Amino acid sequence: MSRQPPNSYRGVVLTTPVSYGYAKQSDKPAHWFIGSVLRQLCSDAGIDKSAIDGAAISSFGLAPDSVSFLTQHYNIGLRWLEQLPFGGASGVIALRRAARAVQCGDAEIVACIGGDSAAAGSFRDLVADFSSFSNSAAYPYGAAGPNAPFALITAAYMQQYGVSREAFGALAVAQRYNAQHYAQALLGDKPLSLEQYLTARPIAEPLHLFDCVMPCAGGEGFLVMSEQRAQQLQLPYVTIAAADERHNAFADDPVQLRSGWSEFAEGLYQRAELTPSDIDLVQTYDDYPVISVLQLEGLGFFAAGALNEFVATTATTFDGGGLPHNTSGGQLSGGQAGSAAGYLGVVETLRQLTDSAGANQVAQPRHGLVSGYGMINYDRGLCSTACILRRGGEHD
Amino acid sequence: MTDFVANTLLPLAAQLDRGELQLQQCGQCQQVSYPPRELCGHCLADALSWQPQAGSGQLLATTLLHYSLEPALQPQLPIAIGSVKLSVGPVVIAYLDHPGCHIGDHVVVTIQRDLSGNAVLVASAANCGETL
Repeated sequence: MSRQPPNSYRGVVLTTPVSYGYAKQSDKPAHWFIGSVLRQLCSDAGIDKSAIDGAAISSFGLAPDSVSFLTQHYNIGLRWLEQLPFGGASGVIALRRAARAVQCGDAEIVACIGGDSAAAGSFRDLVADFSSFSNSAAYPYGAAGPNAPFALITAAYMQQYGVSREAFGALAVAQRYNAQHYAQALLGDKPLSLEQYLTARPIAEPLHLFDCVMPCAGGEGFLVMSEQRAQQLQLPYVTIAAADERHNAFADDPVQLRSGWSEFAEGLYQRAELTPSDIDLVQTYDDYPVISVLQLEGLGFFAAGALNEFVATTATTFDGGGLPHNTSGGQLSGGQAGSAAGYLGVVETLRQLTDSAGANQVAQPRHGLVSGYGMINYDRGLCSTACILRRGGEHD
Repeated sequence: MTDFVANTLLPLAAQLDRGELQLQQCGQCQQVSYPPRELCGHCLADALSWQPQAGSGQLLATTLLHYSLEPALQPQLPIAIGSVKLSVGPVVIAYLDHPGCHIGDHVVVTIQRDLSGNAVLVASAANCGETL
């Protein structure tokens, strides 16, 4: 079905990247991580919390609270509030929703925050009651949580295209190298060789240990406001060249070897007036290497099934001169902080495009692509998103 | 196993004694649905009922689970499961009765009881070698 393309995001910017409190375990609840990100956003932007009049928040760990209760928790008065339960797609969806709110005058400064904790046993509790489909048709087979669905997708992908574990390993090893240059990456102090990747213990074959993320605690956030406001506040910013999202794309595919990216990529690049070769860095939602691969394929970085050739010809390290990918280590080397993981790619790209990344800074990037993927319901993830962000002050 | 698993699979459990695979089917458009749902996933009619179905299908993918967060499943590891495209339409996740099954194999899905007494789907294939 052909539909009207979405309007431009002209006049709206993202500023103030915050990554906060990454820890392998924490006894503090999600409220602490979200509130800490909010405090840091205000501090970094040089504004009082009363200047923030909108919020878009994602967390798996708020129950029994919802985001409306957080306004009293943090004693903030808002005129626009969203709770975004889209897992790994939440960050891009948050910026889409927030940008429209700012464009339309429903809010002036929107805080977009993902945050979650990681107490002992909390991940098991999450996957044991994640969705009605998962509860009835995946959980009884040991397939609750993402390991088994992604093992099945990885197995089908390897069979379909003749792709080796080595090719997936190349992505994981490059991400670990990136993590070694990013202080908050929880696994950044442990080098990873391709040999270690290949000989790691099996988890859900063909997935082995270094194909799987480590659940952790942490928060990620950024601010959305008008370009004029960011300039007044003297904040470095990025603009939104294009963004899109799909839910339950290609529902009739028996195995998810593609998703919404294949459907919207062409329009995304058209609206940004760019091609994949113009993208200087890309962040995918990497809860497993295969899902990064589906995003890179769908977004035009290589043809379906051409992973072997891609990794043989393209460095994905932040300083390799190829296509820098998951430049802070991603989730595979940084940890998966629940819903914060859905914001990680936006926040890292914001750092990169404002030259504030630190030791893992990509040299002078102008355009970054962030891809999101979320909500494993039974056999596949249902949400797919992407946005192209542009260095502030560049032509649009 | 927690209670909700047994509860959501009660319709399957009731079939065990009759020895046949039943899945939800729409009385209006005839579409077969799985996992279980409240309305027809195709035409949205409130016309689903549990009907006998052929269990034949093709194995889409397999995995051997070496790790589980669920204490009740840990003694059974490693566990072979797979996804099956049933000829009647839906994709089901099922236990494999032999881990030597391969992608593309023709399989037949039946309902059996797992070690905890819950009703589960099991995929069997004549060309996968002897059953466990």
